[in-house]
Amino acid sequence: MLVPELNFLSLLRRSRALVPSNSFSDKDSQPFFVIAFSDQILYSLLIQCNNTKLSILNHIKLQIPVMTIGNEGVLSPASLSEQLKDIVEVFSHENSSDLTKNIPIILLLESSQFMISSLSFEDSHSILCGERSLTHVEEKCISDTSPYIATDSIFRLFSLYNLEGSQPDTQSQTNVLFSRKTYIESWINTIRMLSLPLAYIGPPSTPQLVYLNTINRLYTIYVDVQRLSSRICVLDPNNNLTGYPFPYGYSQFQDLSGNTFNLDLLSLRIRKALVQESLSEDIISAPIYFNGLPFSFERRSLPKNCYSSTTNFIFDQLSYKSENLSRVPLQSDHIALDIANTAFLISTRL
Amino acid sequence: MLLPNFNNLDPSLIWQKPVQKDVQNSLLTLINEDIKHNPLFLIPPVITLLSVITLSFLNLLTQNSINSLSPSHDEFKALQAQLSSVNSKNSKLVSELRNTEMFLLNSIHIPVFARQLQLLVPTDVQLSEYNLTDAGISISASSYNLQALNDFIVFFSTHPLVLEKSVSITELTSSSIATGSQPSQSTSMIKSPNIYNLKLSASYRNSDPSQLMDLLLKSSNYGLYTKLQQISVQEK
Repeated sequence: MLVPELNFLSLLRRSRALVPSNSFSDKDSQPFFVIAFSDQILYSLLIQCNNTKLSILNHIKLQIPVMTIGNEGVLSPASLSEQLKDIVEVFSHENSSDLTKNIPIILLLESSQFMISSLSFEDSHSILCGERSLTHVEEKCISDTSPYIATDSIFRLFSLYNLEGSQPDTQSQTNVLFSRKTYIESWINTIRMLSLPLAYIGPPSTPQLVYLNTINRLYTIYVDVQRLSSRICVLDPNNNLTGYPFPYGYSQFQDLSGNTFNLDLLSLRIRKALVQESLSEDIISAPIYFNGLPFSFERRSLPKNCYSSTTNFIFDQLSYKSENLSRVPLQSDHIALDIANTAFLISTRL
Repeated sequence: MLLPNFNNLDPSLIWQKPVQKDVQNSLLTLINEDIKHNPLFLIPPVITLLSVITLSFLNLLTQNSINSLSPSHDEFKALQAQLSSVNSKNSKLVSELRNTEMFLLNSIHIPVFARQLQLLVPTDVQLSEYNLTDAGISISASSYNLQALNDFIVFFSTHPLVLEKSVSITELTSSSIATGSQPSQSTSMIKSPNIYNLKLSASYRNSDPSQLMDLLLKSSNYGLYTKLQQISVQEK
């Protein structure tokens, strides 16, 4: 029988270690207005986060026409900003507080509008730590690797490691997130019309990848599934992160009634596509993490080495309590739940 | 820098995270967080709090009992003070009484011996004079019977109130009543009775007061004893 440890000094140190150093204290619960766009659906959530608790206060889901938000970004910023203003006012009214002034926005955009890759260049650690900025030559080198037009390309460097506590041992730890400048700017123009501060704009995949990397150190496949297409990110044992477009979405693997979903076939297609990309055969047994699936899976019914965000493959690694205070029940809307949980991840890293 | 973020394309829109309060300076916040993450920290304060509450409750009960017994305690204190005062007076009286008793016992030799003297004198001896003072005893006795006078001397010298070594016969004479001649002459007459005169003196023995009291009581009963003897003789 284990004797419970009653050394309170060690318990104190252990409990202090559990508190994230950059998290809010309980009294500093911060509300966020979360906007997520995917498959022509605009999700608007009002959440409140601190280091131990996520409260989903409100939730609205709107179908957005292609004339408002297209593949090139927000085509009608005025129209979209008016809709978002109305949503903020509704949230303010329902929560009896004025959110129209300074509530920060977390904007999660489609993963298909972003591309992730890994680069090697000298002294990347000092750049990632903010000790120095990129030179023009370095910027040009990185832009040349962009999958988008160089004049319309925008990128951000990031690391999967906590740079404050460790020194990078290889140059391959520098990852780059590419996107189109016009696409991002169209969204920023819309937010500017809202006159609200912007806390985060980016894909939902990168915050989840950062947490995934703390769980797995071998080949890891992350798939952000949308309705008609998907985005695959592969993390190899050398910590190189590579993104691949995948021309299949969840709609191709549904039956006609839309009630059943063939995840085995989807995972098989993904592994086959990755093998065709001349990756190592270890990829066949690598775990696949799916995000964005609008279906709920029992953990036992998932294929071998497959995990779904609907079974909280990332979120159950975090010690926080989630409560749904929304008037619209979220239990059946797994995408909205994933958005809220991803926003919580982001809020702990801001 | 950990999360790639495109919000800095328009610096005016960047959300600045509110300045976090210095948790280290707030001890209460620190304790609150620690307890939330580890409820075991609640055990020592809860034990301490329960102990304090229990002790306070017991103290309250004891205080109530003390308050209820306070009048009785005050009364007891007053009685104890009175008792000690009476005791001191009593001890003072006892000491004075003992002095008086000692004085009386020391001066009781004369009356006791005066009573005892009645027992000492044999039938044929006549006390002509006796003088009892604090300094000593001087007796003059006379008798026709020399043996009786001799018994008187023996009784006298062996009496417990008399210091044996202090007994001295100051004078012993015999005289004839008929002729009134000298004793040497009277001894030569066969049929004329002679009278013997005796003078003796002695000092008192330092006797125990209790022994003196005993002798005093015995001498008092002697009169009753002789009366009873007389009654019994008359009945015969």
